[in-house]
Amino acid sequence: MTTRSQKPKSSPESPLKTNKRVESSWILLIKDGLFENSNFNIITLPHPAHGKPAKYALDHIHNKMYELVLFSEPYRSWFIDETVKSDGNLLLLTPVNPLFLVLPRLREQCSSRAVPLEDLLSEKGYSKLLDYVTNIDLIGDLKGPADMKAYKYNEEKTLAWLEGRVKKLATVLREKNIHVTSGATSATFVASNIGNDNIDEEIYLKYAHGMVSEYLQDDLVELLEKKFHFKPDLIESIGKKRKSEATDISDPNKKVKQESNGVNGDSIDISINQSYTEVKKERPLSAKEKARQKAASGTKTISSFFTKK
Amino acid sequence: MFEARLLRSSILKKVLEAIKDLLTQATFDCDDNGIQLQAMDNSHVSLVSLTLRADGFDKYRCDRNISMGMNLGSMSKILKCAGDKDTVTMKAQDNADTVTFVFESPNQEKVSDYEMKLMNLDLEHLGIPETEYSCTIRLPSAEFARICRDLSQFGESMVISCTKEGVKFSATGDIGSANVKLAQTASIDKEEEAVVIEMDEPVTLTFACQYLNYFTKATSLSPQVQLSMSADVPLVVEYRIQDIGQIRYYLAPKIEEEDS
Repeated sequence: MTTRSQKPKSSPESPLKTNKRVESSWILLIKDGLFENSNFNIITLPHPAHGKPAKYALDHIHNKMYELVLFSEPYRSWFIDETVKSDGNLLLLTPVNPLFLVLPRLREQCSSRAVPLEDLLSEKGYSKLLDYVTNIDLIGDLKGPADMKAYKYNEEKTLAWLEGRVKKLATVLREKNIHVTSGATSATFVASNIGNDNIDEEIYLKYAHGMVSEYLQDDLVELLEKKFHFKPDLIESIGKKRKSEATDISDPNKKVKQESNGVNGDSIDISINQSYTEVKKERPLSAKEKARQKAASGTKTISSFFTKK
Repeated sequence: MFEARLLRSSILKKVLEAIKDLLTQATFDCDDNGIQLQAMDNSHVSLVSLTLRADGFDKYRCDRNISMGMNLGSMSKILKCAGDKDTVTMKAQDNADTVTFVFESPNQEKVSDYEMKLMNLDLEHLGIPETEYSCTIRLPSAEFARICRDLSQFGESMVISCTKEGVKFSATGDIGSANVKLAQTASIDKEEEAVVIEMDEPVTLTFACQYLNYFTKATSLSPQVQLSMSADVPLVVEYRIQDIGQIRYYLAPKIEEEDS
């Protein structure tokens, strides 16, 4: 399906950001069909979840939109024929529904009034999206004459649409046997007792919800979560179960590891609790707090020294 | 009814300056004995413990124990409205959801009051055990602030090493390394300027510079600072506030990486 290809920089108007150094080439995995398309272009648009610029590719022949995903790892380079390319980043094109990108704009502009689609997508490079957006009535109501294409945001419809997306994704996850519980397993490891069959449907849904949420604004994520009524500690309980099984098997090993690291069980527990509370807050940190967190790295938590009252 | 009156607002101002960068919000626990504040910073590596004794206040009344959760940024803004020589009074009703700060100028010509909404903070309290520390170092607080500031230019962490020769602060980073050694002062003319080291056994610990710099915001509260250390327990940085109490900062040591 995919070809590994090296693409020269084609559109000078939107140079790709590479890590630190500027390179004249990069490695991109794309579909065969796209490769034949000579003028497919890469555009920059705000990411639907956090509004920071992200790269997207438009394929006007197949009328599809792709998201540019960067896989970056330190200490990695490419060998191309006889040469070495020191920038080891790998770029992937994955299809994305343009509706996700329209959604934040629609919510922002059209929550109280209807705005024609053309006006809505008139700025910041959104105009190129115009031909790609279909089914906008899944997230909004058509108001006025049909040829005006004026839409008003409809939250109920949006949530119903997103719910459908999550359910669809969950089914695919199950079909493809994607590992969704916490903890890591090798892709080639076939467990006799923990097959994917006895995993609760809800875990797939939760996992799918997490994936879809990456394209949604925070408040919408919460609304969607409420729709599914997830049990709060679902993932955690599964994680514990898996863990206890693992300790049964490799108990002696684990003890050795604990002794060598000098880490006691208590501090492990604390770190788990902490990460959980951090997730709960989901408040963006100021630069100052980030700097402080960086300074705190490598330091034990103070609560591991003092007893809780 | 809770009411606490301080003749000089500068103490409360300085206390706020000393904690507001490290903490965003905190609970002031008031009872018969005075006001207590204990809170961890967001990253949970340091802890601030503030005590203001009732007898240090000009007037102190606390009918029922009361915990007031305050946004320290807002409180600091309010205290900036007070002149240094103003008298400050903190007032709250029992079960109140606001606290009132009243500032009176020395000649009583100007009286201003500010009301601040309280917050419901769900903060856990930690029990701090009484610890005998292997090393206690007392030094001028300005000197300590200077050392922390200077060394933080060199690296993110600072090693404090206390031996019988004295105490050594060192930091290493990209530009090089820095070492500051302080020996015990031989003759004590002024107690405030002396470096006094009490040591049972030598201790070497590593701490995050940035946090120590946050602690030194309390420098104006006291001419002297006391550092207490023992192996593998948090460092205590204590500033005594004359006649009224003290502020203690606890900082967990950095875990030294095995390969370095």
